[in-house]
Amino acid sequence: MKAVCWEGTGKVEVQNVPDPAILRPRDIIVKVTSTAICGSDLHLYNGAIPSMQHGDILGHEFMGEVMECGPGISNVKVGDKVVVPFNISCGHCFHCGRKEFSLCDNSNPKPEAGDKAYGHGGAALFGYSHMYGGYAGGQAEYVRVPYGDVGPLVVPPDVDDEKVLFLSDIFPTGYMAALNCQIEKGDTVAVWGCGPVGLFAIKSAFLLGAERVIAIDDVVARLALAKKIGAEVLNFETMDVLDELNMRTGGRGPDSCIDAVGMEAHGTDLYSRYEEVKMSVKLATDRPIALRQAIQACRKGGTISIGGVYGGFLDKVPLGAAFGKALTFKMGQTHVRKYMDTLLQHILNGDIDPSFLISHRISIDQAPNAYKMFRDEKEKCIKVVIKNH
Amino acid sequence: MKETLQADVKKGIREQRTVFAQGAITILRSVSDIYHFWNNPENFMSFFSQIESVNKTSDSEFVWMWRPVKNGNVFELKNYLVEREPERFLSWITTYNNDIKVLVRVHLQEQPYRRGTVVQVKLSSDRPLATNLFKTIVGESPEKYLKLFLTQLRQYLESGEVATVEGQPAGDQRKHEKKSALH
Repeated sequence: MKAVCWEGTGKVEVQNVPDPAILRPRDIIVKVTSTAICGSDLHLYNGAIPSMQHGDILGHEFMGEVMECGPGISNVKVGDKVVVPFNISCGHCFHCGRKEFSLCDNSNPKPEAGDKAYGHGGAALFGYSHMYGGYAGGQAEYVRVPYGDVGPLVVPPDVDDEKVLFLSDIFPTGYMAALNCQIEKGDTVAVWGCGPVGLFAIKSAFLLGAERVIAIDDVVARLALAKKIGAEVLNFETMDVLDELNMRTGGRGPDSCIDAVGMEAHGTDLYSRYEEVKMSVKLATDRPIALRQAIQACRKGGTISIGGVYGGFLDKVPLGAAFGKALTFKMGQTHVRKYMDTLLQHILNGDIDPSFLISHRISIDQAPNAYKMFRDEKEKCIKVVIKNH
Repeated sequence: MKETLQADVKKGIREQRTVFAQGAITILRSVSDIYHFWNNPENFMSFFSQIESVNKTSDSEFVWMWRPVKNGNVFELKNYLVEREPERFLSWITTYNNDIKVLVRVHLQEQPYRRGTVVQVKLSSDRPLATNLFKTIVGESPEKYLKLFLTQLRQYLESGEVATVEGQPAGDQRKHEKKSALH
């Protein structure tokens, strides 16, 4: 089969690799009909995530048709149309029992690195480094899905792939980021980053009752999309974010702030440029520029929700301000499966059509160019979907 | 009921002094399930691939054929049960070449409010450099082995299978196709 393989920083290739097989009783094999390139795939592409190996198959946003089921599978059958969460969860551990699917104790066959780095490692992920288990991803024609009786969501056969594909990651991720804000009536929510996760965080904040959403980015096309879905927008290249947010919220600050950017944020000041240099020579693991602003901007007693991915040790995060303002922090990899049913219902009800942000539809052979475009041409590339069959 | 074995083995316990590896894990199963699973050494083969075979020679003695991750040689490890207290405690002595003796002690404690059972394992030896000896024999540190063992035990008892990526496809420039869970 064809698969998108990581071959080093800035280099992905489409290669012919062996088809996947059932390796454990609870495995299923899915024929991938649609898969997407995620903003967090760019962290891998940029070499920001350690423990990748040449030949790793990328991709953690995918859906398709069940082709084969292991003998331990009874609730999914061959022919079902399924959307697969990006995190892999056993369904039976302490955390899965609490629906904390991204914290599964058992899915990572190589937990040592995660345990060492974080004290206790989280669930394995598809196509996202060996620290997260080293599982082959879904940017391929077929994929093996472990614990196929837990993660995959069976969707109606007649629903368009484009409407449900993003249930695999970015829609639940934006939704959890908004949910973590504990939005109350009248709330103003500020969202850093108008990439796909940020856009779904905006949509979700409105779904959850936010009065206003203020979106922050410097990519004009993305800000335009944010405006189209109801957000007020703020271009950080042309104005001082903190001053502007204070102005727009009457000096109080947003009730909650979502960082939908994560570890590779950009800024306009000298220190931001310095951090980019530090990270490029591996002297820093993350650039928490958006997070710093969010902490400063948030109203006293407000909530910081981190949906963007962070990987390591963050410099100069103003914890003093967070403490002084009694902020609440909520964050983490999304417990995707926990939210899929609710969000599918929103889609089927017509409350939201997640396909609004797709800018490019390509074949798998075009994936290497698409990665480059997604990284370098943010003005025209919002979301790339790879169509297989 | 607490069971103990013969005097010469008890003497062996007293000789064990230094704890050279220890680990703990919480498994979401009852203490009874875990005790009964652990009390049958043949069960270990179902989740720990380094154990090639188990030969139970009596209720209190069994032999493991052990293939380390790094080192290709297979070792015969003889095991003698020392003490067991149902649903609380198990201990046995593992010997290699009738010379090196390792005391394995397993404590079980069920947690309140269905939070599972804590499994605490300590390996001790009468040899002052037991860790180095272990590394020399099996090519890996005892702490890593114990951690892997406990992790895979939890995977098996909770989810019914041990997580793996061995055998999955990868690109043609893969350098470490057979990397084990330890590395």
